[in-house]
Amino acid sequence: MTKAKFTKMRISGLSLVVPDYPQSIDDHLDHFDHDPAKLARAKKIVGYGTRYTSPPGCTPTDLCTAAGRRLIDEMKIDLSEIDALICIMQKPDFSQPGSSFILHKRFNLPKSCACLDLNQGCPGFVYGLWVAGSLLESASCRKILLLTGDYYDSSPHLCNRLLFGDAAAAVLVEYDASAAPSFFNLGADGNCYDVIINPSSGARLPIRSDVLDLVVHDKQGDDLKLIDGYLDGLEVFNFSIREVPPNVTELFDYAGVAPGDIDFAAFHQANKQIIDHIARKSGLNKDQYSSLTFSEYGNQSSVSVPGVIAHILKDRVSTGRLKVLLCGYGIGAAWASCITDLDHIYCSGIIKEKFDHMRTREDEISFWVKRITGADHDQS
Amino acid sequence: MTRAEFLAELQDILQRDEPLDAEMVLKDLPEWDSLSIMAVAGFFDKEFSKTLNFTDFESFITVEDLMARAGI
Repeated sequence: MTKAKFTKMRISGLSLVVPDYPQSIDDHLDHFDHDPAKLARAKKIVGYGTRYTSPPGCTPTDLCTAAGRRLIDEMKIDLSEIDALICIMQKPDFSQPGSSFILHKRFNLPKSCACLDLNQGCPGFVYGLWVAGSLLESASCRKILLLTGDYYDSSPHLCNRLLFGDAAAAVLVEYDASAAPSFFNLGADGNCYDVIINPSSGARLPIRSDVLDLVVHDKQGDDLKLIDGYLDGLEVFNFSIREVPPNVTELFDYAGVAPGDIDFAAFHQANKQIIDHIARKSGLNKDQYSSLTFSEYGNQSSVSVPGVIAHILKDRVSTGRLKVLLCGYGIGAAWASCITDLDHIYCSGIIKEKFDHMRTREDEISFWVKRITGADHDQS
Repeated sequence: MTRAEFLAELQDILQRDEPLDAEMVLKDLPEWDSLSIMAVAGFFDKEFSKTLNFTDFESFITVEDLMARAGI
């Protein structure tokens, strides 16, 4: 596996935004055949609770904008000092260009700030942090804005949708010659590329009318469309509990720390059962990790690792120093873990924000027609 | 783990009120769904260090088949 030790990387701030439109699993009794016992069982096994979903017209890029603006304002970041913006996102506003450029514009970043997009899901935050750490270690950057956001509400495949909550995080990562060392261990298995996939979404099977209404019955008994995301739950469960614990154990050895030295482990919040298995097999105790963020906010995809920090550790990382394990795993298949110190960082906690009055689909079409015909000036 | 313990554990995983016996057909149990399949896969990994995939689950007809795979 790919390992790295960085001695000049410091996470100095983190803000996290969820759209303030909560949905309780209790409102989805129909999905459990109207049987309260089935719902109770699902809550116990999976950890279902509340999740937050974006209103129409609000995209992961909009959520990232809100998280980034809060970070910039609260930390009084001098934008001229930002050398790079890294955007980790699977659902950018456009298939081209990447959303890093939209965010570059919205934050009024200078032309000296480079933009980079990473197409990564659940393991994405740790992958992005690894890239940021590499850029700081080589001294090609001094300050990097890391943005990540995801949403799932566009998918009508209800079974999967109930797992996911929308969110975005903004993180400032800085060059610090006296930073405590950070350790990374990353891996991937392309053989599992199709266990979490959106089959009709790119160049391989572009969305056309022939797939719009094509409903298929998956082997787990759920109906879905090829334009929706497909998730093979059992395979995801199996590769997660097979690959992640050895990755974490290797990282402990590489970093020279014991599981007991970790103050808290922020695991990707896939669901309660997967988290419990991975943590137990990694040698961690119940007070060293939590699946509460899944239950209160849903699986936030690439945002879930910062989500745990914002949700569970806000006060502890704001006022003290914590040695944390950050661990993401999922789509790819990929997995990545990191041991780093969070030492008196700015942490917003989880901010619930309204996104009313977003542009409608009609507004969007009209905007682009005017933009392209020259009938209007750029107003994005 | 004894067979009686396995049956009790499986009953708990399925969150089922009535006891189970070895001859029961899995597909006839109302609690046997994708949720229980993942929970049973977790139980096998934890207790027996065995990985169960989709093909395994397709081959399990009765509770007895599960116990045979567990080796008890």
